[in-house]
Amino acid sequence: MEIIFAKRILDSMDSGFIIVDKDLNIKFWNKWLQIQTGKFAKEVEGKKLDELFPIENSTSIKRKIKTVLAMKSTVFYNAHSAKPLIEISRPHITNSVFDIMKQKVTISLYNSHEGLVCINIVDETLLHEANYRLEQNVKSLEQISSIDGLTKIFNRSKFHERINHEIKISERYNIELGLIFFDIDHFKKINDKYGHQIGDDVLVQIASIISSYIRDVDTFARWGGEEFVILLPGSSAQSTYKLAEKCRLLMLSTEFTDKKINVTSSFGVSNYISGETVNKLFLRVDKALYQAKANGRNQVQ
Amino acid sequence: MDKKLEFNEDHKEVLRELMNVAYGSATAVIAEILDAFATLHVPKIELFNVTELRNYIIGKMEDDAFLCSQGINGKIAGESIFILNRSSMKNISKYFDLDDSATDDDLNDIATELTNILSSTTVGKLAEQVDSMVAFSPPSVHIVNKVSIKDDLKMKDYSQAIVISTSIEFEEEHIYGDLILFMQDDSIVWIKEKLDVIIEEYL
Repeated sequence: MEIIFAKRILDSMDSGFIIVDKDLNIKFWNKWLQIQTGKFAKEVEGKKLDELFPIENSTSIKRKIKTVLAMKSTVFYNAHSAKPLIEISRPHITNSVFDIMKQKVTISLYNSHEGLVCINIVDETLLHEANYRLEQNVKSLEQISSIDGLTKIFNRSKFHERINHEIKISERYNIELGLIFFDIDHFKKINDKYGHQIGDDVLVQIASIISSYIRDVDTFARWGGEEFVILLPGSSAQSTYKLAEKCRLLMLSTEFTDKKINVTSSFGVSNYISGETVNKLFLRVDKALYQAKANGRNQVQ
Repeated sequence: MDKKLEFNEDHKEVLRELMNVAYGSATAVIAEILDAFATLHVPKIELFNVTELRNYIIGKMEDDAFLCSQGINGKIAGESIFILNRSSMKNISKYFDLDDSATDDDLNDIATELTNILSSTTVGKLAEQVDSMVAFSPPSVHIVNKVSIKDDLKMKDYSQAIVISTSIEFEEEHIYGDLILFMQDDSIVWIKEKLDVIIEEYL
């Protein structure tokens, strides 16, 4: 059989090669796979791939094999996800992120007359680990910086810095300090309905309109996700409440993005009480926000 | 634009005919792979100068679309992109065993699979008809909207593109998408030579 001629080449390659038919019957299992999975060729040849290994979606791979046989060309099994076809664990002692091999899997035509395809599995774990480390570095850098990547207003860590500072000033000079915490009602529904891109656009637009509404001395930041905070030095409890209400109405009357989405938001407000800690202040504001949500949303508490 | 990169009317006619045949077999393959009965509508096939293309694309797409691109290597070299509106994606996802809970990642997978099938069958068949071989790079997919697409599409390396406006009807679902083939300048020259041979033989 033809496979004997291919065997020498396929056994000398540093990646996995499986020759299967449309029902996943294994005709050939190369040396790399024998070493990586611990299963010898004679144990697996003649058996079905999905009976030997738990394959997440065997309809999907069978459909892809059908595609290869129909189109007589190559198909990429997992172009994005690097979801492994067969779970192969990676032994490691130090410094690695993934326990299971990340794989690039392609399926190509082997023998059209006999209905055979060749599945190639390449170990891409190192590449993914390098990417992961890069992503972590970016995240750390973002944290060190003060600006939220998406909305370009201050981020949470900058806000913490500011509030600690303002509290000290408030104490020393006996100045009032207001805090507003708000979030978008049912934001997940917007993401689900319009997609994340639009969801992001809404957040950017909110940041933009609220930014232009507050004073120079105020600090406006993105707390996370769809949550925002405003710090108002010199603002009385009444003024803080008033501003929150104005913001709520402003958001209510705006049609967001060119999809003209209507958005409501819930607000929690509180003013700093002399002597209390930052955490205590946040707890009160949080409670107020919670109250607003519990009372039916789209309001200030 | 460079004369040697322009297609005349005869070229366009033959190219349309070849693409029609290629596209027809592509959709037949899809129907076979997905085990679904599909009605194919004869696609509208147009040759575009790349400078006109961006506005054309923005005009046709809905706000949220999947843009899937794939590199083509061989004598016919260039890139194919497939633009599918989100509504069409949702329609087709059930044929790929997904339901309403499909995430963007799941939809990305389908977009890639569909692009791979459409673009490699179409271009593959076209290559067959002009006696050449092609190979494809792994596809990549982005979610785009009318604003982001200005950055996502960098077309300056190309002068010509073939736009195939497709419509596939699966029972109740309709899929509308545009398959756009960008060809490198040498490929254009090469294809023209092949088309000239065909024109001589048949016209």
